[in-house]
This record gives sequence, C-alpha cells and structure tokens, in this order.
Amino acid sequence: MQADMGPGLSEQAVVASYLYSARYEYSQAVLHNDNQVRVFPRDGEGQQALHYEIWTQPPSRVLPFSDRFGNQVNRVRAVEHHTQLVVATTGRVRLSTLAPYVEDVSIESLREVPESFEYTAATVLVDPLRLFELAGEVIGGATGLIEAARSVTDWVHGHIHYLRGTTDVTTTAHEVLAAGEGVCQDMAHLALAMMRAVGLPCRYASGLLTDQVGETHAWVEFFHPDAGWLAADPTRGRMLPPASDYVKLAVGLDYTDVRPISGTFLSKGAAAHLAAIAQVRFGEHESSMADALALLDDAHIVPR
Amino acid sequence: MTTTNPDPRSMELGVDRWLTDARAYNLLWLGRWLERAYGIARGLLWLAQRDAEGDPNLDAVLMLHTAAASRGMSVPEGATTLDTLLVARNGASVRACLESARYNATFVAPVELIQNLADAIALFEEQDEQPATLAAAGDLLRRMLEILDEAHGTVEQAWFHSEPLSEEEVYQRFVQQQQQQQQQSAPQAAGE
Amino acid sequence: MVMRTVGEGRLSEWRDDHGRLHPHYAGVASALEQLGPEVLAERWRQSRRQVARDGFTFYLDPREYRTTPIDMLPRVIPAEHWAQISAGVAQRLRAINRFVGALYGDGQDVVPNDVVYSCDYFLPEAEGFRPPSDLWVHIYGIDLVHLGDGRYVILEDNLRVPSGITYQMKTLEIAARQMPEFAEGYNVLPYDVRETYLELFRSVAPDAGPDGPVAVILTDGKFGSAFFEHRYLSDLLGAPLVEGPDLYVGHDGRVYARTVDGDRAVDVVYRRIQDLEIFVPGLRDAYFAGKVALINGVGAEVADDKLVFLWVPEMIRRYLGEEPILEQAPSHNLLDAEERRYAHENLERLVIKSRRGYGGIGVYVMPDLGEETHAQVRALILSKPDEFIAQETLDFSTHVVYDEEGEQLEPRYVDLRVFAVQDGEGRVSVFPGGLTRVARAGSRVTNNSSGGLCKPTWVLA
Repeated sequence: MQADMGPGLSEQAVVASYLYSARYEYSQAVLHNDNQVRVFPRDGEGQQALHYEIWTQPPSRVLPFSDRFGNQVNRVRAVEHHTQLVVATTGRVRLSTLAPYVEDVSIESLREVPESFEYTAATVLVDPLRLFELAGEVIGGATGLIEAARSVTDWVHGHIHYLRGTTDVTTTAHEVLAAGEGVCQDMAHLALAMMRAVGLPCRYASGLLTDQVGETHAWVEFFHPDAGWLAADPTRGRMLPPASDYVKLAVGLDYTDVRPISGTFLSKGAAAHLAAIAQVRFGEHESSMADALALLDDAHIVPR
Repeated sequence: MTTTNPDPRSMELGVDRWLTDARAYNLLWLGRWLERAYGIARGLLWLAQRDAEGDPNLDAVLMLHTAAASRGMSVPEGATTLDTLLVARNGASVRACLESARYNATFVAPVELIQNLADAIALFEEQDEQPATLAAAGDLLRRMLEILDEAHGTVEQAWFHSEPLSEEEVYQRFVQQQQQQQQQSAPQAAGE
Repeated sequence: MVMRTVGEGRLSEWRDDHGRLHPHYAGVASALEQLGPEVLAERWRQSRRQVARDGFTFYLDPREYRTTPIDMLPRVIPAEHWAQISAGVAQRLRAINRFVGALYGDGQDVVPNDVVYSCDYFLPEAEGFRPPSDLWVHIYGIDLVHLGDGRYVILEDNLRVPSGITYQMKTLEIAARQMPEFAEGYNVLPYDVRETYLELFRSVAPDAGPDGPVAVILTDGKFGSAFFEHRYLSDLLGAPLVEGPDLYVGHDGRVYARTVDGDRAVDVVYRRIQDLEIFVPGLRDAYFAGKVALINGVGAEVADDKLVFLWVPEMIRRYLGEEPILEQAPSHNLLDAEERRYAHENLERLVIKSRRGYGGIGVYVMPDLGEETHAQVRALILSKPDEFIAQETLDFSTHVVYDEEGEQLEPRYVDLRVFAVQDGEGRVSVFPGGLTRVARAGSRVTNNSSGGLCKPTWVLA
C-alpha cells in the first residue's frame, strides 16, 4: 500500500507509533456488543500507513472494510456475555516533516471540482446556512482559497475560548458560536460551517497529536484543486502544518463520520462508565494488549 | 429412508389447552373488563326499573353520580352522568370496558368471541343518538346483555366444548356426579 | 348503469391503452353493472362490518382499534403472467438462500465486503453454523409492481418477518362471502397455506418425541401492528400464541413454554418478532445448537438490507447459473462516489429508501413529495449516504377501487406482495396471487403501514 507521499517525503520523514485504548463498563451483563472502530492509520496527505492491529476483550470477530471516505473501519462484534469491553488498537505510520508549500488559487476555481458537491453539505452538526453572514464578514474581500481558509481558522482560534466540559459530541457549530467556547471538535465544526458557507469544500479530520499521551484531536482539511486536501488547525491556530504533527485516523463530513468507536449493545443495563486514551511516540514501538490495559489505568478522560 | 414427522402435537391438543402467562393475563383482564361492564349495566337496569315504577324516594341523579364515583369516574363539565357511565371514552364506561375486553379477547379467544364483543360495541356506535333517559339506557343495556349471553355460550363451547347449561341441567349434573361417587366408594367400604 | 372511471392512470390493470376493458375483467365488470349502485353500496357496507366484526385489524397506532380497509373488486392475474412471477420468485428465493449459505459458510465474493460488513443484519456469530437442510430462507415476501404487458418488476425483498399472507387470505374470504357474484365464471388457482406451513414445520423440526413436533407462534403482543396475522395463523395452524416471557431456554438447551399446567418443550418457534435476544434470551443459541427450529431462522436478514438487494441478480447468475426471470427496479449504491453524484443530480425523480426500512418506513418517493421534503432528503443522503439507497421511480400500474358514495371507479396505484415458502426437502411453494396493496389517492406508497387498502387477488387457472 504505497500512497502518494508528495515530494521529498523519503528524505524528510519520521516514523510514529501509537496505541489507543478504550474501556466501556456496563451496569449489567451485555449480551452482544457491536461496534465500528475507526482508529487506524490513513494513507495520503503526507502520511503512509505501515501497520495496525486491533484487540478486544472479550474477544470478538473483526470485520475489516473501508467506508466511503476511505477510512479503514473494523467492525468488532462481541457475543460473549460481558460487563466490560476493552477495544485497543496500535499502529505505525511514516510522516512527512515538511510543511506543504502551495500556491494560492482563487475561490472561483473551486466551482468545477467534484468535491464541491458533497464537501460543502450541511450535516446535523455543521449547518453552513446559519453562518452565512458571519463567514462572509470574516473572509471579507479575500479571493484566494488559502487566504479565505486562513481567515476562518484564525478567527475561530481568536474568538472561541478553549474550555473543556461545556460542550459534548452533540454540540452543533452554531451552538459553539453562541457559547464562544469549546474544545477541538467544536472549533473544527465551526470552521467547517464557515468554510462551507463560502463554498470551500472541507472535511473533518480526526487523529492524534504526535509525541504525547492524551485524547484524540480534531482539525480541518480544505480542498485545493491542485494540491488536494490541506490541513488547518483552528484549535492551535495553525495553517498548513506538516503531516508529522498528527497521526491521521479518519476523515468525514463531521464528527459523526469519524467517531473512534460507535455502535450498539444489548443489555438490560446502561453503559456506566467509559475511558479512552491514546499514546503516540516517534520511532518504531511494539505494543501489546497488556500495554493497552496498562495505559488505560492512567486514563481519566472521557473521549470527545 | 425419510419418514415424515407427524403433525405438530399442539394441533391435537388444541390451542386453548396451553395456559401460558400471556394467555392467563389476558383471560384475567377479559374477565375483569366484562365483569365491570356487567356491574354498571346491572346497576343502571335496576335504576331504570325503579324510575319506571315511579319510586318517590328515588334520587336518580344522586345514584348515578354515586355509581360513577364508585368506579373512580368523574363527570366532565358538559357531559351527562349517563353518557359518562355508558359511552364515554374514559376507560371505564360500559363501552370502554367492552373495547378493552375485546383487546384481551384477541389474544385468548376464538374469533366468535371477538365477533360477539364487536356486536356489543356496535350497539353503542350505531345509535343515532346516545340514550338520554334511563329508559332508553335500559333498552340498550338489555340488548347488550343478550349479546354477552351469546358470548358466554361461545366461551363454553370453545373452551369447555359444551353447550351452556341451564340451572336445572347444572343441578341434574350435580346429582349424577354425587350418585357416581357413591357407587365408586361403595365397594371400597365393603372391602374394609 | 354506466360505471364511470375517474382520472385513470397510464398503465391500468383494468383497461388497455385504448380504454377497452381487459378481457379477464369482463365477468367482474358485468357483475358490477348488474348489481347496480344500491346493492353494491350495501355489500361494501357489509364488508366493512365483517372486517370490524372479525377483528381484521392493522394497527397504525396501538391506542386505536383500526380495522383493515379493503376493496372487494378483485385483481385478476392472467395465467401467463403468473407463470413468470412464480418462476421468478422461486428462483430468487433459491439464489438468496445459496448466497446466505455461502456468506456464513465458505465465504462469498458476490457482494462487496464494505456492504456486508456495514450491514447491521450481518451476524458474524452465525459463521460456521449450518441450519437443517441448509435452509436459511423459510418464508419469503417479495414486493412487485406491474409495468404493463406482463412486465413485473421487483421493488424489494422481505426476509425478516414478512407479513401479509393472512391479509391476503382474509380479504379473499370476505370478498368471496359478500360478493360471490364477482367469482362467477372464473376458475381461480387455489392454495393451502395451512398444509404448506405445517409441512415446513415438520421438515425443519429437530427430532421430537413420539408425539411429534410442537410449534408455537412468538408474538410481540396484542397491540402490535400485525397482531391480527399472529392470531389468525395461530388459529389456522393450531399453534399456541406465546409472548417472549412465556418461553425460556432450559438447562438442557431446549426451549420451553411456561404454562399453568407445567412447562412444555417446544420444537418449532415461528417467530414474528425481530429482536430474539431481547424477547427470549438464549433462543438464538438454542437455534444454533440445533435444539429448536426457528422460522424465519437467523442469517437471511442480511438479504433484507436494501443495499444487498442490488446484487441479487448477480447471486442468481453465480449460484444458479441462470439469468434472472424477473427484473428488479434499477437501484444505486450510494457508497459509490459516482452513483452518489448521480443520485444527487437526479434526486427529483428517484425513490430514496432506508437500507434498514420496512413497511414503507424510510421510503421517499421524490416525485410525489413537496419541496421542503426534497431539501430534507437531499441533506439526509448527503450527510448519511451509507444509510440509504436510491431507486429509479417506476410508473407502475393502477387498478380501480369502487367508491360507493360517488358510485364510480377510482384509479389507485397497486403493488403485489407475493409469498413463498421453502421447506426442508428443498421444495419452494409460491402461493398463487398474493396481497394486492392499494395506495392512497395520489400516492405511490402502498404499504398497510402507510394507510393503503387490500384487494383480493386471483390467479386464473
């Protein structure tokens, strides 16, 4: 699986390894638990997927497929009765350390690209129509694609205060705007809504920040007719960061397309507690299920 | 060699022989709803008769209200007590009881019982106007009781495989059983 | 009396393109003329009374005792049409059965993995399981529309809990009783649902005791939309109606019914519910262990996915080495970028269906819907294309229903749900006729759940 790595990747690249682990606890026995997992390396945009593994406890049948965004998905279905489910994945990628250098083009040139048709769509969490006016004001007289994307990214970074705990996975872009605060996912949604409002095809990207332990990160990719998908990170206020900033795991129209683990379980009880944590290290590292469980012991974080 | 299995045993046993939780539950409620319909009907028929006889001590209004209150019904503003007891969709009128009974009947009954109940319910639906007097209510309820008697016959036939017995027949059967028991116990007594 | 027909559609079951009555309706039409509006009105009233009296219900809302609307004017299917339908349905059932067997057996490469694995009804725990006689599909319902000239096209397959067979029987029964005049001079193909079902039960039951297999019908209760069907089948087959809590799986792995007179072992569960595990914990495992026969079994549901439908013609070619006898409605896989784009650009003339939908739920016939709904559906398939398929809208046939108040015949869209049974000996029985469902005026959605009515359906011998 050799992907288009862009110029100079072989010279200017690093390898990163990650471990992701999530644990669900239930108040009563679960009869079956059926989930789609999207925590696997993607290929493309300066990232090359090298390897991945997935484990669950209790063990489950793993069914690999690709979704319509090209994300690697593994459906895991556990039918052994359980009160706790652990899903752990590990993977390795090669990442370009070069920030892309791209000539700006006019927004007008996007009219003809096929991506314009679905990557400007409204979703439940991202409704561009509601942000039409604001987006126009923020972009002002900008005619360049990158210029416009930069204005949106900077505006969101400057106007939304990073604060945990006030939003959740159902918070919509316009709610984030009204609250003026949120986390990376919220900032990505708001930036997407504003970019789509002015006709920029863009998508939600989910992954891990390199060389740290923590939770999943979210940023935005917008489409450039010549260079393809380019990253913009409103949370950190960064435009066109090098691929080596992240391990990219999934893309979609909004968060609901990239949820690390989504699915259903059958039980008389409820999901009582869950914890999820990820660790990324540069270099080649092997991890096991035992490492995944040990990592979880340090986790107090509810995944976003 | 392939041998064909015999018919599922349930066919020989008859569906009605299996008293499952679900059936028992529906039988219980079928009985409760019907008894409730009977109860209101008997009270109103008695009242209608007293009224027709011109009983000077009869306070029909008070008694109707008492009948409603004893079943936990309140009479809404603008409605008559008679309407509340007979036809209103309040969960406890005679008609509402019959409708509830029909739901339970669909689970436990032969289709004939569902038909009987449908006929009884139709009495309340096909009226051009609902009975405004005790006398009219009495007429309606007497027709309903006739249909419920048919329902009783349906149940006897379907579940007990017999014609409903008259009181005289019940007595005769009792006498017969007594005689048989005496005959059976006689040789034992002799052997002691 | 001259029977007027108001605003008839282009493709009519009743008349040909030149406005002439189809010859197989001559007898029905002359009965209409001879009886006249007064008698007809009385008969139609009687039919409604019988529907209500016999508890022939289809609940849309469990709080409302809703009777099933019927129209007694029959749909008559000529023998040559039926020969094709019957062969096509049997062929399709066999192909789907083979596909499901391959999917859970040695593997299949007809349907792409991203389709099967993203399907909620694909159950990996069934991998390696072999049902008795390799029978995955027991009772099958298929929805067809007639495009005229004997061209019948499949809209969807129903493999979970196909319902409606008793609606077909009861509608026929009432029409035969209230309007015997229609049938005069017609020779209609008979069928025996009771014998066919009991034969199926016998052929799949695990080895039962000396008294033979015991069959029960598992229902979701008396307020379920198709409870009439459960009750009618119970009477017809002599199989007790049970609810989930009435059944349990014993220590020996067998299924038992709790009764006041003690527990009774059950050999065949004809289940009329979807979520077995919720209603009877362990029932599925008992089935996998061969302790009980489940009808329909576990596994075939995957072919109920409206997206898997797209590959059935390929299943027929691959597993049977035959060409499909019946066509199916051209459909589009929205997981594919090109098809998604096509659907987006041609949305106004497509039907959008939820992959998991049934009974008309999640079906959007775009040409019949207003602008506001168009915008909603467009947003829906843009944001969640993986949950839908797109189908070309077909201009299918209309039939007439008798409107006794207006004393006239009114055209309405009709479809045809045909039922077939496959038993353990590999025999496939397709019941001649089927359930003709009539859409509401101006609509193309014919399901009972959407408020349509039923028509008696005859196949000429």
